[in-house]
Amino acid sequence: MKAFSAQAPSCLKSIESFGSPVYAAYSGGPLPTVRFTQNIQRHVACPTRVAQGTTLRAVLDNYFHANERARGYVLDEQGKIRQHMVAFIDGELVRDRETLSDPVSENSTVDIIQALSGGSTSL
Amino acid sequence: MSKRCYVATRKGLFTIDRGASKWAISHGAFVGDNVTLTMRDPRNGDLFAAMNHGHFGIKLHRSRDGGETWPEISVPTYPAMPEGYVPKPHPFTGKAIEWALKLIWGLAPGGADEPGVVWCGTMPGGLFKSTDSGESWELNRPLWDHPKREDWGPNGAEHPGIHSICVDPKDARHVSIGVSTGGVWITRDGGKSWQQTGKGMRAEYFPPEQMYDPNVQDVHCLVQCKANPETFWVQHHNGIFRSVDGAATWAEIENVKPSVFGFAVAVHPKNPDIAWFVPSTKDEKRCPTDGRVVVNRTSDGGKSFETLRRGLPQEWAYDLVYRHGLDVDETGDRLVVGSTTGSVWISEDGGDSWQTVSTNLPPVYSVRFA
Repeated sequence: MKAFSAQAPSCLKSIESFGSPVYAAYSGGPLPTVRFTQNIQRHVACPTRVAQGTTLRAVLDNYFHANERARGYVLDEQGKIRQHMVAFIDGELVRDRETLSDPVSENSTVDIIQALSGGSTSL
Repeated sequence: MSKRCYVATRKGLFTIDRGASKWAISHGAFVGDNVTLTMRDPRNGDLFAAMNHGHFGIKLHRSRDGGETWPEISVPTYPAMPEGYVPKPHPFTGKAIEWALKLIWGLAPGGADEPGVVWCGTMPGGLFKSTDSGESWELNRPLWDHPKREDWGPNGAEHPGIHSICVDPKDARHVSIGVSTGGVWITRDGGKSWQQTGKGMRAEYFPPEQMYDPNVQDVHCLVQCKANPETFWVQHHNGIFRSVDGAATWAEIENVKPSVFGFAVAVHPKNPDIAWFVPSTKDEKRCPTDGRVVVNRTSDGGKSFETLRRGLPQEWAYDLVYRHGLDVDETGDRLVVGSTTGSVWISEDGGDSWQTVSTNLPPVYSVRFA
């Protein structure tokens, strides 16, 4: 199986078309930005947004707090990243898929995309 | 008499309607997406469609307007493991079962006297119950916490699963389930307690000492006669079994031509002695014998079988019919079969003859009459 590059793949460029992140009711300093694959938008709207937190877990929890239905598309019921989803922090592949402990800085960009694996259910 | 059926496929959910002269596809929903199961609740007309999105997980949709719109509803979710609990690795795989939904494999409405109750069987082996037509779900803990549950084995998939749920039409507290691989389980108190049955079932893929262990029986499909709920039929991994005592004991039915291997079984809703099967050659050769699609019917409780083939392809046909790929309507006259090759056939005379509805659909997982 082809391993994922540690760098964000070129398909992430399409995510940028979602435009500037939404700064909902927040007037503080910079916050991490969370962007999602375009493919997920067909099922549940996941606009690019900022979300507070210093770990991936905290950032995603804050994002999903305002978009609860999207949580189950990315994480399973035990809070793990779904088998065929991947997360990048500033282009680096997230390694801790279970507890989501990878650190996130205030200027980070988190990208959530689908892995190349896992699409076989609709082949 | 049913005039509509729903066909869940790897690339969408299709509606088939009886026109003036023939059956034809009339509508497609979720086109391109993997619809693994469908169910219509006869009590209120709710339609359910279970999805496997691969990347994004398992989802469930419900339509209350006859299939025009399909809002997403909640899926069954497994609770967190109790603190200190260490799941037992299965000896086949060396891995413990994850407490996470892998597939919705069985859906069944509750009894006529319990509106809103829907049962859901899943991989990796959890049975869930909704009391609000799928708005929320709760794991049945007495079954999930049963010590024998952790010994359920994987099947063709990685995880054990509950695919058949039979609610007794005369007593909704009496629910029987088929597990692959984990045999037959019964509750008579609405799920508060469960007993494993299966005396007489034989698993030829196990050593002689374990062959009759009820917990290793690979039940492919379990059905219950509506008019006579003490009669059950099972298409098993290595044969056909029938019970006439509420699934307590089972008789193996042998020497059925062309084969006893298959996945699907349907029982006549009014006559417990009539049942249909769609045989495949054998476990390691899952296609029709000699390339000929046939349906086997017994009308005498399994003493004899007729091999029905009129209208079905009789050369170079390699259709496999999965466990939910056969259904019978409430009259017992109309049958529908859907195959992995994307064929759908319907009979209006109890299987004597068949008409082809399509040979071009995506692989079919589930067919259900409205």
